[in-house]
Amino acid sequence: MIFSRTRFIIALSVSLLVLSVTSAHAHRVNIFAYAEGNTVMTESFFSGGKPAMNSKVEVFDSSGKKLLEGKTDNEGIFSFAIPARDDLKIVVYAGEGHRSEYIVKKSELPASEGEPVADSAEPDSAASGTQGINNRSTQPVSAGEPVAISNDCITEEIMNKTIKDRIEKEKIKIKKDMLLEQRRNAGPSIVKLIGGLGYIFGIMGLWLFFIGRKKSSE
Amino acid sequence: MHISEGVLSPPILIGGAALAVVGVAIGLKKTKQEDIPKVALLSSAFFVASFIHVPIGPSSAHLILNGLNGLLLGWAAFPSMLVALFMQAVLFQFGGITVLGVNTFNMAFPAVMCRFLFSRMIFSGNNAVSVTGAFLCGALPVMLSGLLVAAELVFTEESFVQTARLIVVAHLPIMIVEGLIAVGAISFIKKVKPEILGLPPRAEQDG
Repeated sequence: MIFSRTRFIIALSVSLLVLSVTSAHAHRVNIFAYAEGNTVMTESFFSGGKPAMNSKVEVFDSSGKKLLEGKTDNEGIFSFAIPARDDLKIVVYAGEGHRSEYIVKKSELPASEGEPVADSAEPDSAASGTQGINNRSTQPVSAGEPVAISNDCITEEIMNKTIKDRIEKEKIKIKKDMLLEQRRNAGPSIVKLIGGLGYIFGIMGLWLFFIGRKKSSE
Repeated sequence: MHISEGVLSPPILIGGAALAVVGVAIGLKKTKQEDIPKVALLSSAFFVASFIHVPIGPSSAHLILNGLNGLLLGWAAFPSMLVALFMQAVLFQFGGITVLGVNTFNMAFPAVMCRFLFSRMIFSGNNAVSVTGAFLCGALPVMLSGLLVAAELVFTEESFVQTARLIVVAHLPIMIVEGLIAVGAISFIKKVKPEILGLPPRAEQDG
């Protein structure tokens, strides 16, 4: 009879632990963001991978000023045009006190607008590299310069631009992969779970130890 | 129902922490040496419960088991859940260190109150009354905790009523499940070892 209560509670904890293996969902919201062209894409999801739908998202600059806010869609996605060339702190509020933030660094923003290039007014230059190149190639011609020289310049420029675009695209792809990976691992791991249980019983041991010492010294 | 870091204002954080300290102090003082393993076991049950997602209902919510903690531990539910919430905050970033006090109070206070409110019912001779009491003791703390959370979020979320309604609706299945767990636990313990609940052992029946 002495062990029955502990046995009961052990049985309870073990059965809960077993249950938890099959469905490791829990509540914690995550947000992840990346810049693509002139927009910033954000994705919010709970640990377990479920999207945080219809959640408020706020964007702050480095001085803490609120730049804009919006709501996530049914897939937890919220995108906005880059409001400023600054570190952007993106905060999601998923209700019930769930909040998370992600900072898109200034250096991560594509530098298309900040560059002192004459034809940067075109907003979707990053989206299609050839478009920008065509524009550039017509410019020197219209200025009346010798065709041969400008051709040399263009090939080098084209090369640089193509490489740059390529790198940008790869970077975005890597970020997306990272996001996917993060999402897959969003649930807490069973290893940590068991570790936590170990800690709790360790604390119990310490508590008993100190009580025992106090008693024996009395 | 863990409130995240950076949502609440400092006065609420400090107030919650102060109340939690009081609760933990009472809990530690009232815990006898032989009850310490029980506290640890229920603490781990609470720690693990937040991984059990109940897939019914409109929102994804997890088991809480704060009612069961309060029911079986009384004031010791405060230290029990403090430790479990600390582990969840450190290992999984559920909640957080600065909100630990508030989260502990939110979870433990309604649980302890419900134990005191319903213990009479639970230990009454009438079986139906006893089962009802146990069910309420498991289910009600979930709702009351949700109301506390909603009250604290008044300054961040749109409105108390809206947040409270969302939380309560999302946790209705959880409340039912936890109520049933409490009923199961109580009826089992009553049969096997009633003194776990702080009752005099039923020596006259055991022989």
